[in-house]
Amino acid sequence: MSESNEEMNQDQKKDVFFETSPAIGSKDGIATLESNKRNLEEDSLENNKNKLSKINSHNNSHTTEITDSHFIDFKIRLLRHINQTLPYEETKIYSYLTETRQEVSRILKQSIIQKESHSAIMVGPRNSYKSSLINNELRYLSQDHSDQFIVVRLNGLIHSEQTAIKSIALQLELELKRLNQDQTTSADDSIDVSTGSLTEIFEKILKLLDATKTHENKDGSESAKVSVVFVFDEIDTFAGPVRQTLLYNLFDMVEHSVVPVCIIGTTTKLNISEFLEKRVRSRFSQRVIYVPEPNDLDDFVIASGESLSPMIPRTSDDEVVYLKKWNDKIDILLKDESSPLFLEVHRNYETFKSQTVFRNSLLPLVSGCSNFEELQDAITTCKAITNYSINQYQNDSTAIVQTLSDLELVILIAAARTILKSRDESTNFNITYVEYSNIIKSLNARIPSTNNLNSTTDKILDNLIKLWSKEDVKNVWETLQEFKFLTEKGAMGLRESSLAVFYASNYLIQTTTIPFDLRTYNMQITLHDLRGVVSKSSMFYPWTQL
Amino acid sequence: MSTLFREYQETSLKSFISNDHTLTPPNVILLGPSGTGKTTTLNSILSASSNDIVHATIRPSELVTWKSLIQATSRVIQQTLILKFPQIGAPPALDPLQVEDYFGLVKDLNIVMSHYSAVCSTVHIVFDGFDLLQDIDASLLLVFLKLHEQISTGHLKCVFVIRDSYFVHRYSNFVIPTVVFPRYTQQQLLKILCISRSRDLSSQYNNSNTSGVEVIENFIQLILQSFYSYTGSNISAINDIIDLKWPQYIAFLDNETLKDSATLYRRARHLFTFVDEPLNKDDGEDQSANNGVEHELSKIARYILIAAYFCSYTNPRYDPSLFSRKAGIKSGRASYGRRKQLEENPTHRQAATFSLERLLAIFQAIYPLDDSDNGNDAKKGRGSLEQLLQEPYIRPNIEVFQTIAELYSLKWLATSTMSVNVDLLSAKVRWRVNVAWEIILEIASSVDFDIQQYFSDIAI
Repeated sequence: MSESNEEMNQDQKKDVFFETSPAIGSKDGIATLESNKRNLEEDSLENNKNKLSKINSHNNSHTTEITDSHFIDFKIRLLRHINQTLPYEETKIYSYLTETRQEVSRILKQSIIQKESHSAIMVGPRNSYKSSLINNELRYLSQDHSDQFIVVRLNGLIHSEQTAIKSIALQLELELKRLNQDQTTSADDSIDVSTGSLTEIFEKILKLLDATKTHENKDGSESAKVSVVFVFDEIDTFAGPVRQTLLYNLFDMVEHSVVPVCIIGTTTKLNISEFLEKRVRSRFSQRVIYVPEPNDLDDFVIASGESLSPMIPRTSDDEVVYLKKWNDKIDILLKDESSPLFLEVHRNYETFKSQTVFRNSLLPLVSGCSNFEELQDAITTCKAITNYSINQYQNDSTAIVQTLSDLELVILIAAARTILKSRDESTNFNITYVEYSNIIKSLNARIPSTNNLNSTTDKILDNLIKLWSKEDVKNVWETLQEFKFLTEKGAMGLRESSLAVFYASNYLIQTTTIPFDLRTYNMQITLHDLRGVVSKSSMFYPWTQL
Repeated sequence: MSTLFREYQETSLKSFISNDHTLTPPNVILLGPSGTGKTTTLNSILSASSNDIVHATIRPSELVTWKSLIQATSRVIQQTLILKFPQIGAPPALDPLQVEDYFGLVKDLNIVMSHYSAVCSTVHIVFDGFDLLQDIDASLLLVFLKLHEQISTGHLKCVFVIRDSYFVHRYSNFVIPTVVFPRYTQQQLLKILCISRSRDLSSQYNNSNTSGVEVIENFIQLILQSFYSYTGSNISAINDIIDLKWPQYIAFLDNETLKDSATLYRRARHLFTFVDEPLNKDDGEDQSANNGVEHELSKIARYILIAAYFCSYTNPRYDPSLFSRKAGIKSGRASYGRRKQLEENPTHRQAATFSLERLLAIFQAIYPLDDSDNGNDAKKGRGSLEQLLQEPYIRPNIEVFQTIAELYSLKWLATSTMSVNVDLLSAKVRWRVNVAWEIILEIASSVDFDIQQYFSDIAI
């Protein structure tokens, strides 16, 4: 009851809240569409800004009386810049990506403005800004030409070949509804694409794409010609071993369709063209765009500076003062090769070489600050970045070994010892327990016992190390398995696909019938590793070698 | 209200979770072993009144397959939004059970979120224990990582709470912002437990005396010192032990011991030496439950198991000397010579395989004869050659085979091949016993068979 009451309260609060900020829902109307969404975003930036400053001022009101609203504007701009969610004009593309960007932009412009058909595949590792380049260009084009193209987004991880067809149909339907809204033609019946069997749907799609042109001709306006842009994420999953019907038909459309069609795929596979079947490959334009990485440290430092310093907007505002100050500060810090910021960037370059990692670590840094001086301090010392990377390592196997309790540690050592002794590098609970009890016994033998002659009455001063019973140690054994120090011999681990899981679950695994004590395990950490990790002051350190 | 020792995690999580979708990345991972305060910290941030975050929580551990996971996702988001914004009116009814694939989920989410777009642009989905989904596979997380790209109206943010760091390492090239929750140390645990438990412990112990807090802190410290090595820093395990021990502990509290904690400890010492978890109680009443397994077995079955154990764990070379009655004539070691002392106890290893023939032979040798027959033999005269010839061994009759089949279906005996359609009587089939040493000891003692002497010179 109390919970539901609370919920009610929350709801009420929510109501009130939204009444006080009525601007939020004002604009969107029937917004179901990509470009509308973008517009909406940009319009609602202002509202959100207000809202956030309200929240922030509310939070800080008890600490500092005067909250610098310009600083908060600046901070939000900076956070948006780091998250790359600023509107198009204020988005900065890394300078090492300029050429790639131009190429993407050229293809999209040719197909949207000049109504040509194109196809291209972008190849680059994860987080190499493939999608964000495409999205950025599409955002730009939607500013002036939003009624001239339709974007269909597909993701190979989410869509199978069948659902992709359905998804195309659905997205086309929605987008065409949007385009036809103002024309008020009775075209709604012909738009009903997404019902029927798969082949029917696909036929309808093809027909529709052909028909759009004739339909538009009634108006006689040439600008109404609509081109269709397909954005295929993970295009390699559609280039599977079986038939590749979808890709074949789409690439075929590029060649033959009356409607201008542009297909841009992204993939992480360098040899994507080898994935394509011959008939698909011959229809593909062979245009593969490789997304570059920063070449050297200088490039990387420049890119890091770009991730940190937002563009100064033309509409001069008071936050610009902060922006300028901030960008100058970043410039100075990055030029100084001994500044903590530069060192962090350098370390990132030597290890991850990833702007995304860098940006992730910047978020806590920026959002934790409540005024500009604090922010300047934070970026000068870079403590938050260091803390972030320290935190990332707190769950590594070495870190976990250091947090193990005495019993867990000695069992781990005992298991590692038995592995080293055994011929097939496997162990089981029985053998490990024997090894464990041997370790404890010989440790205890060295301790001069204060109360010999089994005076059971007063063992309160017993300084021997406790030998836990076999039953109790089973618990610890399972804990070690949970941390993946021990893995069952022959265990498959995580399966690649849901289908593999389905097949595997239909077969009895042999190990499931073996009694607990006798199951064989392999270890993911060796005795030698343990010797490096276990502290030398630990009582079990001498046992980390045979 | 902040979670103890989780200040860093809390502040950095705040920078990854926000009501304004433009300020945060689309996905975030909370990584840490169980009992490290992940859910507590996350909930304290999500439910904080200052930031109105719309969130839906899904517990994959309650679901089994990916299909039920996506159905639950669709259902939970719909419900959350309906409850949260009753003023908007229910969205078009969508049957979550019709979500058959990822695209179905995308479709539903698009419809639902566009319906609510006027009031709520950002929805957080929390997967509490994503890796605990039973049928987890590697591609599932990828789907949810990319889900936000497919939502055309509104914004979807996924928060994954994950225990297994190896699972996360698998996706490290996606560079998802991660907040790691390390295990608590013993000192941290002490503080946390003192704060979190003192109230409800003192409510159980209603003594008017003032030093209640001290007693409780003392008790928690004792529990930690005794059982920290057993539980590790798993806070829920320690809480369980505290719940188990506290009623017993306060029984020792009186006016004398209240002041003298050393005496109190001495009296209640046995509480801190044994875990006494309900599963392995050694009380008298539980004794029967412990022995329940072998009481259900017939005498023949027990001997078959013992014989099978011999087959798996003794070298066939020594069979004649161990089980032949002739060996008894030449008594002692002289009959078979010294058996090699093995480096390790063979019973600690997995069972070796054997053929059914050998099992039957050993079974015949160890199965005791009926008393009445023994009496007759005694009359005939001991030691005579006739007696040897006429010894009424048990024959492998229908009962024996039935029992073997029964043991096989109970999985006490297993064959080396796992296929279901195996011809159990085929000579090619190899068998193995599937019972641990402790259990076979119990079984042997229940029929007064001294199995230890057979292993005395090879086991340590």
